[in-house]
Amino acid sequence: MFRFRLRTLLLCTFVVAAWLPVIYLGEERKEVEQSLSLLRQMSSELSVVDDEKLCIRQLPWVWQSIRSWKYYLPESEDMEVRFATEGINNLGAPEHFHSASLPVGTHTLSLQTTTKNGNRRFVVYIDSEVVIDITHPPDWIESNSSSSSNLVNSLSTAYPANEPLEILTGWFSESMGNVSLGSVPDECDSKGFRLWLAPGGYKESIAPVFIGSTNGVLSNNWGLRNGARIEFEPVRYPGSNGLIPMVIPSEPKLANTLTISDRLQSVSVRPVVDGKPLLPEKLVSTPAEPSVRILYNSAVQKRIENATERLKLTAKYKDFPGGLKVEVDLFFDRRSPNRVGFLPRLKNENAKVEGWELVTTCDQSFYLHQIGLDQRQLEVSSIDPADLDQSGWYQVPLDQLPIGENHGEFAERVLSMHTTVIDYKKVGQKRPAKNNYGGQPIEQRWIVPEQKDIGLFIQKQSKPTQPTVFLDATKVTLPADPDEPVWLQIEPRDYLR
Amino acid sequence: MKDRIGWGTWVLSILIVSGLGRSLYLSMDLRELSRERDRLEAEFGKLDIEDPDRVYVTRVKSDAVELPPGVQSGYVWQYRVYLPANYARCTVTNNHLIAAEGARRRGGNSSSSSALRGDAAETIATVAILNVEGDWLFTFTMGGGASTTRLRNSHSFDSFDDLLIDEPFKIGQQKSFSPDDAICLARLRLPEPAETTKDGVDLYLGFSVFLMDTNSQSDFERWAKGEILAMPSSGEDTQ
Repeated sequence: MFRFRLRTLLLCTFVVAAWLPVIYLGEERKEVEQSLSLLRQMSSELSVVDDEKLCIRQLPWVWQSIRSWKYYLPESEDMEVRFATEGINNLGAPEHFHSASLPVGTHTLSLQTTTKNGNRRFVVYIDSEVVIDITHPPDWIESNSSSSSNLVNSLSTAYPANEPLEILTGWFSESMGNVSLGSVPDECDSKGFRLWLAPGGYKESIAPVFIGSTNGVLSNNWGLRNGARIEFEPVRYPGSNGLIPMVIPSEPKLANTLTISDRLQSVSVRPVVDGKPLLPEKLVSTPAEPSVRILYNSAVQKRIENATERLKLTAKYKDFPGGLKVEVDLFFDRRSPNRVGFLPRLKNENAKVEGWELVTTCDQSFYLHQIGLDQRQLEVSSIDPADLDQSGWYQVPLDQLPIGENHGEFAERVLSMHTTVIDYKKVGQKRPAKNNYGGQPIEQRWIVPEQKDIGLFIQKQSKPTQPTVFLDATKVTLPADPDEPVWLQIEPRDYLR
Repeated sequence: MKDRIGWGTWVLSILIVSGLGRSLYLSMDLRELSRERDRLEAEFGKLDIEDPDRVYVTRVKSDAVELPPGVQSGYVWQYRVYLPANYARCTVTNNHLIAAEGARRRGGNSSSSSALRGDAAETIATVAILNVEGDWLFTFTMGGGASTTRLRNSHSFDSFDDLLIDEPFKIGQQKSFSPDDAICLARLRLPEPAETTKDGVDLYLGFSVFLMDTNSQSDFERWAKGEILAMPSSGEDTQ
């Protein structure tokens, strides 16, 4: 028994003796690596850590407008350098890019980005030879800031030559004069620059046109990757229960404006029963069971992945009073990226509705005070109260509205509501800072098929307390069984600047 | 009683062998890394930090720095810099009229600041004067940040031969500074003064760049304007 305990004691001592150096060496290794990391940054040498692979490292940085890397490519490999300035996103390679063959052996790859007289120039060098040279004119983008991420550092690293290797990506954030509009989300296409290496002739994986998911970073985003989406977040916007909110994250000019209030671009779909609209806002929403959600399954996922021009999704409501089961088909079209189509349907076999109302509300913050008719602009303030119906709505004559682009079977009429206010401070209204209109003048449009049983209505402030009268709400009325969607669109109004 | 080897003994034996193996691997790996570090330190010099609360600057040779393509000619100063804990780095670049010594200046200047860094850190600073397609650029990079100043039209020179390039540090020379001090990392100017101040200081067309803690920037500005003769707590130690 005694010998057994002594042996165990001895072995434990040896274990400690064997592992103590490991702890000490580990700490010292960290210290040496830290010094080395800095020293390598000063050196320009490339260690070919694997002569059968691509080896590459970043070179010391002398001028912020030129980044350089030194690489070694084995003779047996065939790679090319690729460069793009548009379509930069984190879900795939840019669709359009320039390329040049990468010579084998040890060479230097450099990217120069400069701006002169407003022109943005991008030059890719291999050693001192120009292989790609792109210049964009000043109106390509208005931007005061950019960011970049360098994926190859100063440590010589080996990579397989049969896979793409991203080296440097940068994004420009749009601005409007001195105001920065911020950057678009990573999944949207940005203007910027991306430099990468790829095997010769490699077919890149391009980001999808449409997105939709119930989990992950892009959860509850449904629609165009580069355009309008539906973003359901019932818990985040408690006042928007029952509404279908449209967002356009790819359009930075709309970001400031549309974050003031989400009502302008949120649609209330109301079945009309016994002459009255039922309000989806009164449906109680919980995190477990939202008042409205996208119907999603593997078949829908496949449709999202495979669609290239147009996508249809379906939103389902909780049962309305009386057991009415309402669904809304939502349409997204790549050709008109800032709009969403709505087509409501009743799913009950034995119930009926008299029609549908699609309503958006807006507040004075948006300064929407004009309607675009075919030959003129109509001021909301000039509408005669005698022309309003009992509920205070003014019906806009469809035949006086401009004709839109025709994406469906029927001709389209466009109701556009917009502002001519370039500088909101001159309107003379004082409002709390949180309601300050700090964004781009915008235009809200309803695009409807030219059919007899479709109506377009607007409502102005019932009690104007300010010098200018603005829109309070818009409404589209549909028959019980509509066969074409109506479209809601939001656009920035560049030409006012 | 038979002396059987139980499972406990096996486990402990495996731990001993794996510990020894791991030590051997780490030792060989560390030897390799140390060799590389020694080689690079022989080339770029060492930073000997005796007082962790002071700033240490060593100038390293810059012929390893390859001028990028598109740059016709250039002159580079490169430094290893040790910054003590709680040092909020600030750099001031003067790009119009500067004195031959000190911080006196008149005209264009720019500054950039970084957030206060809780831990001490070592970094690299690179200053360069570059000729790019006929334009003269003065560039400064340090710890991920960078700035570029374009030569004004009034700076008329065609080559480096026309300039007096000041070397605040010799290559391989290390100096230590109080964290309250302002450190000149590079200075270059035309040889003839462009004007003289009221108190008799000659000012020359040129560039200079200074490194300091953000808290010392207001003292630096007073020094640059001639309100004080030196930074309040200046005192460099040359090693």
